[in-house]
Amino acid sequence: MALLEIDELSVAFDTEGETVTVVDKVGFEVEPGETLGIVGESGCGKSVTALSIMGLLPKPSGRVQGGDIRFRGESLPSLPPERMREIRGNRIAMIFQEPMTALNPVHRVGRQLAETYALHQGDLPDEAVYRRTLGLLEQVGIPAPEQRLREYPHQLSGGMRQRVMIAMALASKPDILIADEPTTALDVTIQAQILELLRDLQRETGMAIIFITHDLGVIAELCSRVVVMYAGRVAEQAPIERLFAHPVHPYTRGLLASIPRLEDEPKTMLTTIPGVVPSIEELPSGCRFANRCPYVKDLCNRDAPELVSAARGHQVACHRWREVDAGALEQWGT
Amino acid sequence: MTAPPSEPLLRVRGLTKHFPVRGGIFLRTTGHVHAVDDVSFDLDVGETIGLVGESGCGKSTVGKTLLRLHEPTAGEVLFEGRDITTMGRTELRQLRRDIQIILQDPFESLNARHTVGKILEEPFVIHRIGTTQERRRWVGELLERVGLSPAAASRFPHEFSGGQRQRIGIARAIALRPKLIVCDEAVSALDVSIQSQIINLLLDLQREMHLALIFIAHDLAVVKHVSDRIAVMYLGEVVEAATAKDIYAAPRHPYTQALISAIPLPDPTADRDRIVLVGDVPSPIDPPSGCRFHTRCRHAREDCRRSKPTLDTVRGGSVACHYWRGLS
Repeated sequence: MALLEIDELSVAFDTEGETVTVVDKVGFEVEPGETLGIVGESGCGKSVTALSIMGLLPKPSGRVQGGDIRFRGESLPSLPPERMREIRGNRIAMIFQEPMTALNPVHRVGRQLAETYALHQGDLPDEAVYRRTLGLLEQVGIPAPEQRLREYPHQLSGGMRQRVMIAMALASKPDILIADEPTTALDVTIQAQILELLRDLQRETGMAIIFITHDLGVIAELCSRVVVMYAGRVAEQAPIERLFAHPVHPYTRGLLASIPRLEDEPKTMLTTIPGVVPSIEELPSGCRFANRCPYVKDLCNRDAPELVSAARGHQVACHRWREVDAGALEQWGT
Repeated sequence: MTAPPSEPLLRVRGLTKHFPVRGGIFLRTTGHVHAVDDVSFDLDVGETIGLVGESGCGKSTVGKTLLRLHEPTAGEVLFEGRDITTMGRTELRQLRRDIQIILQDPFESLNARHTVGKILEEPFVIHRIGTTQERRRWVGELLERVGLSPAAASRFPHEFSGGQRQRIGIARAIALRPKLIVCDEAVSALDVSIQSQIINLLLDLQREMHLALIFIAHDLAVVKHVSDRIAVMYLGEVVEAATAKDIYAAPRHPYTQALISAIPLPDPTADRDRIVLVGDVPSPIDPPSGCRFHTRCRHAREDCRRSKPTLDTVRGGSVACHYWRGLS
């Protein structure tokens, strides 16, 4: 049994009397100790998927509409709130893109860390809590931790704040850390530090990481497996080497081809995916990538493709993946 | 007969911008943010120079100071031979036909209460160009040129996606046929598949209109893709400049080397020889003595702390490091 199973998960939001399904029958599993990447562009549903795992969908507009989320076999959406609180933050922790919004600006870092720690560990003498929070800051590589504990969040740099968030998430030794674009707002040299930190921490603690990002470079650095999402659905999922070497969904292929690469000749035209993602109010009934796909045919506009196996551990939702794979269809950019 | 070396479109010499830091109850100036210090470069017609560096390195301030959106503290900026820094209002108005800027979030710079048509007509109105009919026709042409339908003119900015809004921002920037556009993180907020569309549009327009571009961004792969030459900035100073190709193939400055090695490559099989810099960028209010990078440089020696390296001209560019020869 996988540590976490997302099973045909659908999430809907109620807006102005209408119900829009923003995550549609998404499925994947997370094994202990692995790093799973979820990649996709704005509005693909990657963050909403993460929030629904945490039971943090905005209420009352958002809700799990169908499917299931099972953590160690226990169904999370149907848990009573008290039980969910025990799991959230304790067994499954989450860090966000902008730590400043998650930290309380009027409390010192030390107090916030101690509070989190005490909340999850129960009553402990102050001295023990202090020592442990100090230890956590050291573990996430914060220099002069005694001094940092006395500072306010705004006195820290973006990278340091993210380290504090990671320290808070680690306080309860979670089984899964969900990281939603944790390095997107950081400079590239600071991003490198945080990615290295996450790798080291994972080696030390054996926790699983779900890493959500739009950056395929970060995915390639950190993850062992990757789920590609598009307009609320899974387009493709595969082990990392397989996905980059042998993508079979036209969207994944287009995405990989669109990235400017360091080895490119400067000032050459990039491959593009024409058009834009359909808006969630007017999603097509067939394949959601159909309006941008160079391989589209009638069937694609009519029926939504199911997720099928393309190889061991490799799944794809495309009617024409075999032809795409065999190179029987024209390539991107030509 | 050899022609005399022609004047570049833009010549920047010793550009410096310090922002006062005020404190105390009387808000006296207690220090200065050294946002830009002694930056110099040339830019030719139709050429692109990329400015890269991390937050607070001064790259955006350079762009804004060039347009006199910030008043420079020192230095000169010659546009077609005329010094921008001493221009009066009338001259500046003319200049702003020739130099345009595109920002990261066009939504903030597009008036939400005006239709796209009105927004795009505005440059013509301000500069009193054309009749109402002509202006309408031009707006339609501009929209088509940037890949939008002329019908977009009657809609409002919020009705468009981020990529489409950036197209509107570009349409406004090219309306008066400028000679230079400053692109300040113009594609940074866009999704990959949309980003590549906008980059291609900019490359296309540049070729067609012989535009010079100053491309400011933190994404090095993007900057490399659009630039002829690149200047790397650190704490307000240019530490290295070279052609886009050379700077990635053979970076000379240890900061450039670290910056390039930190880029996550979209290839799980790539060999990663990563230089992870320790610590954060120091405060630009009180920048380190000597070489400003010495606090994070793994090659720093005693004299890096004491003496400031000059930006030396080297083959194909320039570099400011005492020891670059031993590092490459």
